[in-house]
Amino acid sequence: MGAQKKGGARVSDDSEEQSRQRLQAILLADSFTTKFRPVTLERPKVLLPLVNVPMIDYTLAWLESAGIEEVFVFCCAHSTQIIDYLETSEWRTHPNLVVRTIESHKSISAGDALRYIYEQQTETSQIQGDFVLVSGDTVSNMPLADLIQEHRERKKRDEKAIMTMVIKKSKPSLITHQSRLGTDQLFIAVDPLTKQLLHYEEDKVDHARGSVCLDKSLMESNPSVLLYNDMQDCYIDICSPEVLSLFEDNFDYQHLRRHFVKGVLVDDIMGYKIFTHEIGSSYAARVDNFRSYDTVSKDIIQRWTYPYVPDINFGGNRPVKLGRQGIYRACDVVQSRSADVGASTVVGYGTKIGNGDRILNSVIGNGCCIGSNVVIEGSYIWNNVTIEDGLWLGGTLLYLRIQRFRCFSSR
Amino acid sequence: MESRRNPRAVVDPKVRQVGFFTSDSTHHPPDPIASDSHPVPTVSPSRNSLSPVMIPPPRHNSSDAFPLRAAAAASAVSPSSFSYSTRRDFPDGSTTAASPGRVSRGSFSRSSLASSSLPGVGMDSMAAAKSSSVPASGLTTVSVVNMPHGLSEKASGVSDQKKSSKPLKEKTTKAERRALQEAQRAAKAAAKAEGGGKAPAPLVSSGSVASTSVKAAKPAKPSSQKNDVAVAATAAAGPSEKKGGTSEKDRKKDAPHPRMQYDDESRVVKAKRRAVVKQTEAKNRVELFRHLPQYEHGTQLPDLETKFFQLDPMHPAVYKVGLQYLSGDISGGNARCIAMLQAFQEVVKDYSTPPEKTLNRDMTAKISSYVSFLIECRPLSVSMGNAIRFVKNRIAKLPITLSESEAKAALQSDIERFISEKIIAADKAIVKHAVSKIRDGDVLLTYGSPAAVEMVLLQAHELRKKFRVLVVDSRPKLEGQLLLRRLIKRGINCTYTHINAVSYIMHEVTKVFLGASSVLSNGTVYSRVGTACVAMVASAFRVPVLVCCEAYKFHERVQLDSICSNELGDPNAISKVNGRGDINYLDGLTNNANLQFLNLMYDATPSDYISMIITDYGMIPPTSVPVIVREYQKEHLLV
Repeated sequence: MGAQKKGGARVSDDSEEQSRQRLQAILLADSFTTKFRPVTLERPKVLLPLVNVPMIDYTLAWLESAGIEEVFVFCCAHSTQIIDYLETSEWRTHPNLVVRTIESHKSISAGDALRYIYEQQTETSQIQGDFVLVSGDTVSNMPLADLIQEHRERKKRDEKAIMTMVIKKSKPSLITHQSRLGTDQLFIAVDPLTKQLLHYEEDKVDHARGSVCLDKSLMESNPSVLLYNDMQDCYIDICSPEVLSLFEDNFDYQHLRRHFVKGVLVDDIMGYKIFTHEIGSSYAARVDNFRSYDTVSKDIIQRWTYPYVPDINFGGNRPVKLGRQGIYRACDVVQSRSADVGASTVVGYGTKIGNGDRILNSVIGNGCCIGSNVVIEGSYIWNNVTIEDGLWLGGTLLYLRIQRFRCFSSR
Repeated sequence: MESRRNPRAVVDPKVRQVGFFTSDSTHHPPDPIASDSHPVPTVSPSRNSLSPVMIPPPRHNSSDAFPLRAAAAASAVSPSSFSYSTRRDFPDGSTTAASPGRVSRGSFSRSSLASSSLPGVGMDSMAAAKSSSVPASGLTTVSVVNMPHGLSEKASGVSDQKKSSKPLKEKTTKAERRALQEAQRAAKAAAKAEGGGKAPAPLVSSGSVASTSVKAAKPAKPSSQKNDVAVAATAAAGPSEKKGGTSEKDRKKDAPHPRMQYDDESRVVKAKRRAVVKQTEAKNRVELFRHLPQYEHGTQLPDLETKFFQLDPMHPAVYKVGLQYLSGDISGGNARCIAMLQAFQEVVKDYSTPPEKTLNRDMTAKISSYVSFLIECRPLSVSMGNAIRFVKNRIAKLPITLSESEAKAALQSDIERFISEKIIAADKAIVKHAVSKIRDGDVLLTYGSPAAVEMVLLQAHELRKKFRVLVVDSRPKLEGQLLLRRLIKRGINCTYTHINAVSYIMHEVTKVFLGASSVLSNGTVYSRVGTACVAMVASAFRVPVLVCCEAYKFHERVQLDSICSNELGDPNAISKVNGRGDINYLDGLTNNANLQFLNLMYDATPSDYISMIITDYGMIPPTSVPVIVREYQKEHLLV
């Protein structure tokens, strides 16, 4: 509680200091889920290649271009790999962005991670004000500066406005009730004037009856309520320091949404408020599961995430050349004359494509060797994979980093 | 493109001239045709003095000086105004300013002025002007050269009429008297304005020019003129044309002429008085397009809605269709035409002949008044004009012996048949023909959202042809997105781009499929604005351009540019970008006097850029359009 008061006091007393404040971000380099399980057993999720670039590079490049000056990367699982990667990557020496790592092995959830950061913070007080909370698998190109400014002004007017979360329109499928990104249908209630979040429902929507339960008080206390079922949560939050202390106070908060957001919404003693910001034209998505991995990869290939696309150098990737129909090809690809590389395909450096291959809608990593008469459709092949002759790879098969991979999938 | 363009400029004028000459020459040797109908001594002085008419005189402030009438009335006035305008015609800065055509025209008119008493000279100099203009490059020059014939003939017709009216008092009709009166008034106004020496802002009109030259051919077949509603009858020809009209009463009720010149204020005022829809003229209009109607958008619909209960002569079905046109709920040539015909069916169903009137006459008048209401909502398309012509023709041909109920039933079934045969069955035939042109591996490009092309693509997809579609779109309507949505839903592989990128994307294309609002008899395709650009780029890349168009949209008119006849859309639509507050740089500049928005709806694609026109009668080259027009018209009248 003390810390929280301290935070509040700081906000109110000196607005000039705020404008000078460094823009900071906390990047959770661990999703604390098991959705990518067979792959993440030996590798951290944020280093998995997304269109031949580690996911964390997309996030860091976006934060850097959005004007963030300091990023705290919270590493948990496979933390040494992440730290090693960041040490060797160009982020270590980047002029505009300072990347610091926080390592913890005990954390099993985002809540734990934030509590750990808060504890550290009380000692070093590295985080001085509002910060952006994202996970290390976010791909976005949205501008942040205005949003942070908006958040600060709102905070100045209303001390209880501790968080702004970013939402984006995305119509879930009528059949699966999932968005394109493979997340469940989200049901939120927002005050249309202030954009305050009033209700957040992710899991308790009754699809069979097509109904959702709302608290009656929601209607009583607000003159007007806007209900959305076509929004997608981007998991990009602008938080005030109170958020960290709230996690500290409520030690049972684990999940950012399921526990924290709901807890704040039902808790009327503290009266904290969460606001939403809807983005229109820019892109924001989180690679949460295999489905969103596929979707986001396609979005990157189709350049919705511009400027974070394979033919542009960001965060130390080697750009590849873009041809017609969305074919990205590295300059040193060895391709047989009889091979047919179709639309929306990325082929990485040092890859050999054999005779009679057909590749469509796929991503092929660096240093791959593809035998002859191989058909690859809608697949993702990571670096250094060798594919034997005559295979047929359909659907979104994901290939691991194995030196020689012999696939016995159906022909 | 340049390399293509140059030979064109040389070759084309010749071709086009041939077209005009034939029509001219047929009735040239004898005296002006107008004189046939009105036995009056042909007086060449009048013609000579009238020749300046070809350049509309400067528009003055008082400006009820409509070019033709002013000149026709007052040969005494026009010379000065005309010499003025010869110097500064074509204010659009056409680069052909120094072309021989123009020079010769100046000299011609001067000479004709000088030799006003010698009938022959006028002709000769005209011929001279013609010949000297042949090497001229550019379409404008050509139309300029052609102008004198049509205009002088018509003008002479008018003046003849004027002359004749005096000695043969008993024969003058009301229209003639009115024409005379109007002409005199116009002359007076012109004289006054000239004295004022106002800045002229000369209105060019290759538009009126082209249409008048078409007009010239018309008197040759007066029979076709009668039931010709949407034909390029310029409002300019108003007085003389009135005489040819079937019944004057109908004419009077029939408000704005389909091709009314909206830069003629007196006419506009008159039309406004009759108008049902409240129309506020837009303020900043582009000079070149002043002859087209343009109103403030957004005020009409609510106003019309409030009037619903006061409009008792308007049939509710027609009213509904009008509202739908106005709000843009119904768009696209076929959809608009079908909606209108169905409304007319309702009209026929609910019709009962008032006492002391005949069905044929009264219903024609009724339909005319409905049509004028629809025109107020949105200018007619050629397809609608043809359909209206059909309906009126059927009404006129109803045998007197039929009882009212029989006549109504016959009409309804006729309209029904028109819809099913000329539109729906025609589309099916087009699809059948066009699908045969799609092969596996094709990359098809389409522009906007043409209904016929959409059907072709869906049918080809159903036949399991493997092809890819590039949908090219343009602001502000972005109709292509709707097409894209429907195509994707069916599982067709699509790429979407805007017209800015058409030259990039054209590399991949194997065939271009376009729709058309109408096809004119010189093979020109009149279609959504931007179509010409796509067709030109495609032909520069040697990609075949196929135009899908039902034969009922064909028209015998000849149009060389998209200026004379076009439709202006809401200027705000191009100045604003919806949903992007950050790039609306023109906010607050809408009423700036130095800024005019031009939101054209249609453009004309020259026939050289079109490889093939797919109609219900088969696949034809654009040069064969007149055949279809002729044959179709014949059948059309026989139906």
